[in-house]
Amino acid sequence: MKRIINTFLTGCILLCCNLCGQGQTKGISGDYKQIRLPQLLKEIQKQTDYRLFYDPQKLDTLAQNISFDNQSIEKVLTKAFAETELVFSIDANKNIFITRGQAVKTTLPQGFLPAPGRVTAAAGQRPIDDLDAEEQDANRARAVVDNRLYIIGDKNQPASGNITVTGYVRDAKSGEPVIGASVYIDKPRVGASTDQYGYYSFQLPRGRYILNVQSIGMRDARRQIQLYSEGKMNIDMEGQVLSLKRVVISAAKVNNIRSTQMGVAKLDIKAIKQIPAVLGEVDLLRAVLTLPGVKTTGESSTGLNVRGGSVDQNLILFNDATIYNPSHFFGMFSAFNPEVVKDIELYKSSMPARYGGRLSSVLDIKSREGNKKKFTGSAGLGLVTSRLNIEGPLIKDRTTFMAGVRATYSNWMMKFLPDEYENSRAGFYDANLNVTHEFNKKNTLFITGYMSGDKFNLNNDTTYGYSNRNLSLKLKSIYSNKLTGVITTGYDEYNYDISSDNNPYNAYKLNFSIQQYYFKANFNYYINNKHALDFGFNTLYYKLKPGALRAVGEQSIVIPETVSQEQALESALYLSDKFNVNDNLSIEGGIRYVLYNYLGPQDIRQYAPGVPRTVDNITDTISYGKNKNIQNYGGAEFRVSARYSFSDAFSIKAGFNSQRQFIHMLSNTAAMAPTDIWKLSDPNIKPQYGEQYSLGLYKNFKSNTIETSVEVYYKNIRNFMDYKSGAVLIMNPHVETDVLNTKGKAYGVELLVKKSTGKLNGWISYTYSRILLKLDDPIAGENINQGNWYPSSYDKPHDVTAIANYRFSHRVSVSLNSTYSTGRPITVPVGLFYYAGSLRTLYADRNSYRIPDYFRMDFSMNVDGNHRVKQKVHLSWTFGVYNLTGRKNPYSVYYISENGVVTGYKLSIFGAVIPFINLNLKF
Amino acid sequence: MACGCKEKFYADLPSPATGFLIAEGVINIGDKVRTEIRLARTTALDNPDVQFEENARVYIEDQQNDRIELSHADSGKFISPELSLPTGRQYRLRIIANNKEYVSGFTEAKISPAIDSLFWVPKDDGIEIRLMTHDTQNASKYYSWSYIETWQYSTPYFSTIKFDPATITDPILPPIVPRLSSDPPIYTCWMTVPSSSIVIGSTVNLSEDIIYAKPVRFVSASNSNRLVSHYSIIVKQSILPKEGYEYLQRMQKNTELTGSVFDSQPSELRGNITCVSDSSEIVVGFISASSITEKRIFIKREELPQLNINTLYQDCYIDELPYIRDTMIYWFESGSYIPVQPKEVLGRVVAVSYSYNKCVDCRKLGGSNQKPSFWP
Repeated sequence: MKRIINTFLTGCILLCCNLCGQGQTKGISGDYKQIRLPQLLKEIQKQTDYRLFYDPQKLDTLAQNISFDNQSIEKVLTKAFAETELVFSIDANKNIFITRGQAVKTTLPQGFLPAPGRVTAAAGQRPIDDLDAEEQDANRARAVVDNRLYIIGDKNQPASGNITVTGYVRDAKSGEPVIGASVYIDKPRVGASTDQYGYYSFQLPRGRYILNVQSIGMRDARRQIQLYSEGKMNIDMEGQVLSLKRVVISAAKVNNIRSTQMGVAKLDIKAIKQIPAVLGEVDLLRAVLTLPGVKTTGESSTGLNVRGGSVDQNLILFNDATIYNPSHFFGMFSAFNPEVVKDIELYKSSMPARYGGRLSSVLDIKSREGNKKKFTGSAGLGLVTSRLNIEGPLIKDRTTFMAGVRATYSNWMMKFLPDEYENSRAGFYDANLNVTHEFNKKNTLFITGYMSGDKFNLNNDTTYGYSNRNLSLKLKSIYSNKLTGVITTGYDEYNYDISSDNNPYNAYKLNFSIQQYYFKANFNYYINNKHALDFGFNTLYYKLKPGALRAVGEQSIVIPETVSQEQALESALYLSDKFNVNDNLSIEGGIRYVLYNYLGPQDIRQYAPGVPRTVDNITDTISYGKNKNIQNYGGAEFRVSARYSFSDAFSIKAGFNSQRQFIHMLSNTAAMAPTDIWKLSDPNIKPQYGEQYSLGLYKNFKSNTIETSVEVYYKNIRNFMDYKSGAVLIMNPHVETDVLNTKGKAYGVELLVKKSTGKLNGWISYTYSRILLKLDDPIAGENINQGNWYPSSYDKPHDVTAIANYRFSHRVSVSLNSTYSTGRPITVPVGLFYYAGSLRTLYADRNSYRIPDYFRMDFSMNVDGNHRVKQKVHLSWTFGVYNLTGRKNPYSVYYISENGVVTGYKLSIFGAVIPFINLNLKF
Repeated sequence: MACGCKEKFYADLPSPATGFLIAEGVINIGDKVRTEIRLARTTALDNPDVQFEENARVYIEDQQNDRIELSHADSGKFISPELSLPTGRQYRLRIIANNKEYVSGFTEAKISPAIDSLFWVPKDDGIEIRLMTHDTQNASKYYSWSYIETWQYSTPYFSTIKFDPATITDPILPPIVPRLSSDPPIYTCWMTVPSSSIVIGSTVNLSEDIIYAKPVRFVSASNSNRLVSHYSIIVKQSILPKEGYEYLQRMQKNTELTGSVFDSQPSELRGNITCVSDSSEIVVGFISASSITEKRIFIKREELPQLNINTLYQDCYIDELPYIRDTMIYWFESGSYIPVQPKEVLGRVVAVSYSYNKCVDCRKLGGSNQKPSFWP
């Protein structure tokens, strides 16, 4: 970056030096139409023997009509600079120095006089010291860009009310878009934040403004603009090279106060990398788990429970592709390569209307675009995986690619795990490929591919494998300054298989898969400062193969069996309007109409009304033909949120939103298991419906460096899935006989204090939350906890998390992560009985006991090599300790009959102090 | 392993009132066979003593309203007279206990096919007993097995003498006398242990009703002395209805296969027995009706591969005491030590070798010195 600026600056200076005129003193004449200053100055120079010194960067680009009739140089320049801040001074050697604001003194005290013709005195605003020449250059270049006046539009076009300004904010070094940057003007208070393509848009009346741009990890930028008519203003931001490590979660410094959204958290990859991780493997989902309102059943799982939602109620999008199983290695690590990911955004409450189909949250994971300027890469060596990542331009400034791979190389880490895993073997990989092609300034195509695979064998001879495959194509277009659109289409697949060939007669392989094809069209229409519309439609075609069992080998007598394939179409139309009522009040209202069609071919079982759904109560089975519409579900969903700000540092927000979910994960294990199946809503399984009310207070202190918030929510859930005792879920052609509809309620308070700048930064959050279920199915045929409310298996009321990071220097920082939570509920025995030769435990009520509380503290230290920008290879180390106190946090407490007696056990997953080290190379 | 992640733990759990009825057994369909039903009560979590139900009346009923009463034996057992219950009927159990009446659901009488073979395969630390069976009628589908293991073992020291307690009161009598053939044998014993885990199997996914090499029991060489000499196992097979199979499978998941990360959570268990007056009352057990087929095998030590077999006698050693009456009384009176051999010098006993009682008397490990009738 600096090098680029240097070259640029040197070019400018050379240009200045060569602008040397000649000839005698005479009057200047001419009549110029729509001439810009640089041309005008060249014209002046041609006619005189003065030598003009100026920095073209600083010349205003406004065009003017001007005419002279044999006038002196002083008069000409005064006239030409009339509408600008430019001033000039002339020395005895006929040198003219043109500067902004303050004129160059042509006579200086002895010893300070620069050599005649040296222009650095004019170009460089500050004296050069010998501390860091590179830094000085960069500062200088920045100052130059900041002070320059940019002309937008045509001066001669009549001004009519508000004018739309749009543009892209990009990283000056890599050319990647800067997402979530806030672009604003102080007077009047108008602002916007950039979308995922770095695009922004807002409206202003004609005039001159200072445009401020702020973003995480970037130096704040300023642009002076002179606005005449609609136009573009692209801004390149400079990365904050020197302060590598900052903990930041919110989109922008003031955004938590200003935005209407609630319950949104954003983590950028730098912050994620700072959080100490299990075995040093940077883990996106575990990082999300540190956020208030997000929990998991236990350490063995990265399945997220957001505000009382179950694991399957999260829409996990990786560049628009739905990831059904976002984990590796028995669910312990998340399936996203941290080198590829740019940032993640979690919507816990205000879900934008363009998202739907899941009840509790949207986790939007975005990968980086490849470097537009040059080929770079990185490699990492950790205890769990090795990583390789390369990126660069295919066609300079137009087409870029990025490819990343990650794989494990050994089974040795089983040693860190409980005995249960001792004889297990596991391996996994994931791969990413992103290609971005810019057709022109208005149309950009993004192609992203993702693939992950896992194979493992859990302490026996059964082998499990699963994989995700996703491909998406996205076209982002700017139709006009006010209307932009994104058209996306793609294919997602998740499949798993279980096989065993130990016994030749029983050797089998079982396959499960979900495939989905989608098409989404999203448009943003910026009406004016008061209204911005977001609308579009999307459609999703599901094809689900719930299970196919087949024999393996010649001897096998396993009967091939296939549970019939399911298909459905989920379509939605939505419109939302962001209405800025006035400076203080802003309302975002959205409506999403969703329609779900369960399609044939399918056989639908009919059950006698009013009696429990059992196989005995099937009265009839109706067959439907191919593509026949069997069942419709749907309705309107509302997404409303409002913000009222009392001051720049204090606001209150309220929201309501409702959603429906048509695809459900069926699982009666505590942790999300790789063998969990998914099921589409059908006439016998109703869609889940949820609504959430939320209220929040946001207050910032010390000029927005300390953010505090309180958020309260209450959720109602209908048709929440629970399971009959001993439910059979896999290869069950009539799964509706084993599931139960419950109703759920979840409520909680989330408190957050965050300091995102300074040497010491981090956050502390406290969450109180409950999720309670109640069997609400008159024909369930069985009773759970006497029909009373009971806690779900991940109901953990209290949770305190503190993340602190201290930066000793630009190269060394340490992080400390502490977390405490209430133990999760489990089902415990109420008595003993003797049966089949052994004493055994008797169970009654579900989830009536809690395992001991959870506490963990982790430490990590990041050491970067030097920060020389020009160095070929950058090295960084992370080392640390997971579970510093070595506490044996229980994952489960259980009772087992062994040799005729009942023994109680407590199982911890990472019940020891686990040190780690991780090495990263950037080239 | 780096992490001692699994440790014994007893949560401080409430022990609510309990005492629900447990009924276990198979209505035995066959020619002149007895049906044995065992009744007990559930106990509180902190009370591992089995509480048998002795005061009950138990009847086998069929749909023709024929009823046979079982007679009470010890330890909650109720045994029928020798019966030849016809197949093709449905049977159930009626129990009257504690002034309440319980019935099991009518269940179809099943015929268990013969066990084709029972064999063993070597494993890392022991052997695995496996079973083959098949049903040409394709009607069995759900199998349940139980087994009884018997093994022979001997102590390391063969005792030819014994302490005579009469010497304590009568100093004339020698403290040590020869062990006679009329004395109970203590060198070789037979231990008999019934199965304590649920073993079930299903062929419902298979095109033929064949159980192929089903592992029934893993016999560890290092955890017990089962393989030290002769080992025998008898496997009894009965056929379950689908619901009975699912019940046992769930019981197995709840009590034997739980706790690891991907195991399903334990859940309430309901069998096919209900209380007539209160259908919500918990009753443990599933009563099925089936004939029972069985097969026994013997395994000799010589047939086994090289194994590191635990004799349970590794810590035994033998020592000597001078043959002095007071010393003999002091050492042998309590029975903690047993004399093994006399040491004679010129025809006179000068010393006696001895060892711990468990190293000399095989009964101390729990076995019986009566050779089982089936033992070769």
